[in-house]
Amino acid sequence: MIIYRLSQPVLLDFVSSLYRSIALAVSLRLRHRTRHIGFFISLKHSPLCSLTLSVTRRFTMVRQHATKLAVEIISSHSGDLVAKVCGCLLQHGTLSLQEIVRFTDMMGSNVKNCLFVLIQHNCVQAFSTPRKGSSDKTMTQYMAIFDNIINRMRFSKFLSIVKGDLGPEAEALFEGLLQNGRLTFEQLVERSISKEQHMDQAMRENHQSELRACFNNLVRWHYVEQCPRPEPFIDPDSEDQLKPTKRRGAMTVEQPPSIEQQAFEAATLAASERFSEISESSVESAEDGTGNHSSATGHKRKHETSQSDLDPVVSVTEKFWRANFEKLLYCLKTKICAENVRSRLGVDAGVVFEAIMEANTEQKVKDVIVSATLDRILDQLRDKPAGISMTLDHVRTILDELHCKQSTEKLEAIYSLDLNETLEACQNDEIEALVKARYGDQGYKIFRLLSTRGQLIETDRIAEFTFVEKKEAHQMLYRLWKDEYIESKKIQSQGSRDTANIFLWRLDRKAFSKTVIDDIFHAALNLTEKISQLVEKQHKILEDDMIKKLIQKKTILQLSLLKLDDSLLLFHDFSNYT
Amino acid sequence: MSTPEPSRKRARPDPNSRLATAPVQALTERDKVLASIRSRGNRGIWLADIKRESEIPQNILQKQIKMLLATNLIKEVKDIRHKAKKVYMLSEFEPSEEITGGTWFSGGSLNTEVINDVKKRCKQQITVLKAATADMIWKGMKRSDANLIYTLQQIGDVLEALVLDKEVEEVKSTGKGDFVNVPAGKVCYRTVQKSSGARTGALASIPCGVCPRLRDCTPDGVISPRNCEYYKKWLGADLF
Ligand code: SF4
Repeated sequence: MIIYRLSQPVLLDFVSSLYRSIALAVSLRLRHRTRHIGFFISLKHSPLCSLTLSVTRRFTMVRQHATKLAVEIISSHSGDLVAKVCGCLLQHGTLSLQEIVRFTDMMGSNVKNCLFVLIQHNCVQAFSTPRKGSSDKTMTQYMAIFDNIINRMRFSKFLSIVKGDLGPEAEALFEGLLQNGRLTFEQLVERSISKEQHMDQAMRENHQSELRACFNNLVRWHYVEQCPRPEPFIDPDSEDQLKPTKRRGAMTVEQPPSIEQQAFEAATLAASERFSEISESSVESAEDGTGNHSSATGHKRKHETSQSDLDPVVSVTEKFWRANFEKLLYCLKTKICAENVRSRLGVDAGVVFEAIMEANTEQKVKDVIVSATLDRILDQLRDKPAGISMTLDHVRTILDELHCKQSTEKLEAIYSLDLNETLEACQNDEIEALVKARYGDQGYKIFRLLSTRGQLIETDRIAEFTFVEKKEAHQMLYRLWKDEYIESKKIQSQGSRDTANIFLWRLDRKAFSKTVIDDIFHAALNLTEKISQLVEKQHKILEDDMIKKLIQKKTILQLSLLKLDDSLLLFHDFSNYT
Repeated sequence: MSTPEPSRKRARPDPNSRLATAPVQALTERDKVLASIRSRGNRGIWLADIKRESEIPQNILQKQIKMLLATNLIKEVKDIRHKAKKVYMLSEFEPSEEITGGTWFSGGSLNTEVINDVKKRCKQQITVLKAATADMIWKGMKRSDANLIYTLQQIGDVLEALVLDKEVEEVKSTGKGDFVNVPAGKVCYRTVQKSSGARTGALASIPCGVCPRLRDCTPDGVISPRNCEYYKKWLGADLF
C-alpha cells in the first residue's frame, strides 16, 4: 500500500541542490521522528551521480502521475474542494487539520467537511498522537489511503463480482455501501425501504429480515466488513513501537514500522469482529437505541466519525460497514489469473485454479503462494458446474500441470501454488503487446530474449540469438534502455593493441515493472482527462447526433480505462513491485 | 603475432602479368603486402594492419592493393563485425565464419530469405509431429531433404529464434497426448496454443501506450491530453 510521507518535489529540489557537492551524507528529520526519511547520497561527478538523480527523478515522476490520477478520481466523484484536500495529503503525507488549512489556504470548516467526506468514503484514516510537550493532550492526524482512492475506479467490477456470486439483491445492498462509503445496517435497510413506497408494516418487517439474511451473506463471504476504528491512538515514542525487529535467522534488521503502518494496524479490527454477522436482536436493540433513522440514508452521511477535530454526532458504538476491498481485489486476481491459466492450459485447468484460489484460507491480495487441502479444493470444485464431474486423477494431473507442490500436514494432503508464474505470464501478455506495438518485431524479439534470460547479455550475442543485424540490435537496445525498459552495463575489453567497449544488457523485472506502472498511471490519467473533456463538451452541445456520437466515444474511453485498470491491478495491486 | 616468411615462389613475377614490367622496388612492396595478407589466411586482414606490418606509405600501399585486386591475386571481403573496415585475403581462400557471419549471412548481411525458409521448414515439421525435440525436427528435415546442409546446432538456433518470435513454444513433454512420441520430461517444441482467453495489451490499444511523447505529456503542459493529435486521430477530430 502506498502511503505518502514526503512532498516529492521538495525531495527532488533538495537532491538537485546538492548535485554539485561531494560525498554527502544527509539525514532529513521532518516534523516528526516517525516521518523521518533518511538517505545517503554519494554525489561525486561520476556516472553514479547522474544515475542516483535519474532514479530519484523517476521515483518522483511515478508518484506524480499516481497522485494526479487519485486527485482526478476524487475530483470527479466528490468535487474540487475535496480533491484539493486529498491532493494535499497525497503530496505532503500525513498532516494535522491545521497543517492542511495552512497548505491549502482553505477555511478550517471547509477542510473539516472535506475530511468528513474523505473519511466517509474510506479514502482517509485518522489517528491521534501525543501533542508535543504535553503528555495528556493528543493531536489528530490524517493520512490518505491511496489504494482505496484508486479502488473507486473499480466499483463496476466489484458489483459484478457480488452479483455473480450472491445475486442482484446482494448487489443492490452492496451498491449502497459503495455509493455511501460506510453505513450502518439500519441505514442500509432504510435506503432499501425508501425505494419501495408501497410496503405496509408487515411487508417491511419481512423485507428487513430478507435484507438481513442477504447482508449476513455478504459478511460471510467477506465482501463486507466492519469499518476500522475511527481514530486509534499511536504513541510513536513508546519503546514497543520503535524497536526494530529482527527475524530469527535473518541477517538484516527490519525497519521499525512507520507511524502510518502502526495506525493501520491499530485501526484494523480482529477478524472475528470485522466479519461478525448481525443477529435480529442486535438490529432491534440498535433501532431502539437510536429511536428513528429517518434521515435520508441515500445521502452521504458525514457524522459517524469520532475525531476530536471533527465533532462526533453519533455514538461510536454503532457498527458501520463498508466494502472489503482486500477480498474484492483477491476475487479480481482469481478471475484475471484463471483466464490466463485457461488460455495456456485449457478450460479444466482454469476451473481447478479457481478452486485452489477459493479454497485458500488466507485470501490476501499480495500473497504469491496460495495453499489448500485437497479436500477443500475438491469441495470447491463440486460447487462448480464445470468441476463436478472431474475425477480425482484428472484433478491431480492438473495440479501437477499447475506446478503445485504437495505436502502433508496432519495426514492431510496440502497443495501449494506459486502464483508468480501465472502473474508473470499475464504481465508478459500485456507488456509484450506494448513492446511489439512500440518497437516492432525486432524490439519484441530482443525484449523477449532479455525477459526470458534475465541476465546480462552482450550486444553481439543478442544479435545472434534473435537473427537481427548487429547495428540494428544495438540501436534497438539503446531505445529500450532510453525508455527505461532495460539496463545497460559497459565493460572494457583489453585487446592486444587497443581497448574496446562492450555493452551488456539486462531486463531487471522489478525496475522495469516500475516503469510500466508509471506508464499505466500516466495513461490512465490521460484517459480520465479525456473523459472529463468529453463530459464538459456534452453539456455544451445540443444536436442529438453529436450527443450520441459523444456518448459513444466516451464509452470507448471508459472501457479502455477499465481494461487499463486490469493492467494496473496486475502490476500494482497483485504484485509486490510498489 | 609472428608473420611467416613470404613465399618466394609466389612472389616471383608472373611473366604474363602486366606487373612483369614493374620496377624491382614495386615488386618488393607487392611481396610485403602479399605476405601480410597471406599470413592471416581465411580470416583476412584490415588495410591499417597491412600498413603497419609492411611499413609502406599509404598512397603506395593503396596502389599495390589496387593492382593485386586487378590481377585477382587478392579479394576484398566484408567483415560482418566491422562493416566500415576493408578486409583483404588471397583469392584462393574462402572467408572464415568469423568474417562472413556463417550460414545465415550473405555478402555481409543477414540472409533473411534463407532464415525464413528454414523457419518455415521447422514449423512444418512441428505441425506434422505435433510436439518434437530439436533432434526429431532436424532428422525429419533430413528425411525430406537428403542434401540438408544445416547442422543440428543450427536448427536448434532457429528453433530458439522461433520461440522468441512466439511462433512455437518450448515445453517439457508430459509423455501423453500430443507429447506421446517425446519421452516425458524432455524439452520439446510445439506450435503456440493461441486461445481467445489470452489478454490483449491494454496499453498497446490506446494512443498513450505507444505515444513517443508520453514522457513529455502533462495535463497542463504544451503537450497535453486535451490538445492531443493522436486522440483526435483515434476518436475523430470533430469532438475535440
Ligand atoms: S495524451 Fe496524446 S500526446 Fe499525451 S501521451 Fe497520450 S497520446 Fe501522447
